[in-house]
Amino acid sequence: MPRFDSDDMHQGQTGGRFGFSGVRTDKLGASNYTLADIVVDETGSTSTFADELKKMVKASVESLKKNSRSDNILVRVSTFSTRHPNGVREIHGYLPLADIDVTMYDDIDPAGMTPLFDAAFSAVAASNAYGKMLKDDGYDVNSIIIVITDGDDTSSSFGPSRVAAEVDQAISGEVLESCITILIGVNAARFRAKLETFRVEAKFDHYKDVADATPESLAKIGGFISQSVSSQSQSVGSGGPSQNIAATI
Amino acid sequence: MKFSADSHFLIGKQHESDNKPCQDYALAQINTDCAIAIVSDGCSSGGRTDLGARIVACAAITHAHKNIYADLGSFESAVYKTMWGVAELIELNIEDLLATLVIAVVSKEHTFVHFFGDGACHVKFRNGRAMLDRTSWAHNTPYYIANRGHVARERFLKFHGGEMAQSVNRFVEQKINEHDTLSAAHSDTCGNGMRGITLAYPTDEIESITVFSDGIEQVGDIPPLEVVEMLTGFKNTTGDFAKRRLRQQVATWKKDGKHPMDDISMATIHINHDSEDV
Repeated sequence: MPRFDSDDMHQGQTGGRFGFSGVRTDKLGASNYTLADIVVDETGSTSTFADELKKMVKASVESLKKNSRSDNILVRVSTFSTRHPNGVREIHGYLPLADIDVTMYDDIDPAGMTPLFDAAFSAVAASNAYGKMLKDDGYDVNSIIIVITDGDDTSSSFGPSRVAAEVDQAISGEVLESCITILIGVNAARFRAKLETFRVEAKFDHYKDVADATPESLAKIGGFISQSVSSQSQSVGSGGPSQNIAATI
Repeated sequence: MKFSADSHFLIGKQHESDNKPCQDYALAQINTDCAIAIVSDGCSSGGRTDLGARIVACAAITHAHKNIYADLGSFESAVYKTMWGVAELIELNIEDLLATLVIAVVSKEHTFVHFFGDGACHVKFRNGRAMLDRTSWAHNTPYYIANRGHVARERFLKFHGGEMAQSVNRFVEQKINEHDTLSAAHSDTCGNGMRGITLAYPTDEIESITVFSDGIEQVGDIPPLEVVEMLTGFKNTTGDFAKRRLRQQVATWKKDGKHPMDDISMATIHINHDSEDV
């Protein structure tokens, strides 16, 4: 799917088992970047709104392509489900927006249980690892990680404290200038308390609850994602995170 | 042979404190047969020389080509006419146009650097050596192309004591290896300085060439050669590589309490001799 061929992509691994990829840093041209991770639930319970989830992700990325900061944003899209080896499937690694062809996005194909903690860990860890590569090559970097789930964790090997350790590394400011972490619960009202607990234990910044997985609410999530990424991108170089993440979706 | 080029400029502590704009400007461009790197430094005691530096640099890059060394006078004349053309349109006067010009032109055949006023040029050679050549003027009053007109020229010559006055100071440092540096100082006449000081290098011996404004001389107590070594330590040479390096290095200096006092500008050309684009 990516327009970069495999020789242009760096392959990395975190946590001993989670792979990630990103365009080689010597192929990049700007002076600063925001890494945007969009992590989407692909478990069996999302089957009734899988198409809308895919549309939401595509719309978010398309919207970011038109953003004034689009040249300074690298996007990675992944899904999670126990049906995937290690629970996480990377749709594409960190790519410049201009090189992402959303028409080539795989369908969301729901099945399996929910390795939510592993998915959150792998996204934060990938962002830390790839962000360090950029930083070492002279780029200013910040990141934003958005995890969308319809349920609580059922099957992870890592716990919230492991996620928190990666978040601590992200926000220490030594590699990434700042990192914003957002958990979105969709159609997950009955899990709200547990997801809020996970947010606290994993040290995520925000939990946003979207009661129903209707096309309208998923479209709003798409808009929230692109606004949040855009806002964090405007903060790179300022030394701190965006202060403009919307309170509600 | 493939060129990559980039430039950047940042405001110094003095202008920041005085609520003045950055009066340095820099440009870099790759043409079909050469690469060009330009810095321009506006006179602090002049008028709106932030505009002047931009006008001088843009006028210079408009008229630059790989053979300006053959008739530097014609190049300067063309730049002068363009500068004044723009200045008259927006009602600027000579005080606004007082800005230096340092221009490097790299082609497959040869590399030249021309100084109109003060500034510095750093060359990294493929054999590992590096050289920093700095030009300054007596009384901190460098030549500006804006002084080319008859009245301004005569006033400038009178100020410096005539054509033969030793008004131009050159200081050259060559890094031989990690521990050893050779240096030499010499002077040149006001007349020669006004005609433009030219340095020449064989392109096939060069890895990179970077021109700087004299802001490199006011970074805490760090010697200029060390300053430029830090500023030319590029992690890679793609895209905004000079912008990334200058920005990150200045941020590091600030953390160490060494905020550059003067504006700093740099424009750099890197040569990949293994590629065959030029």
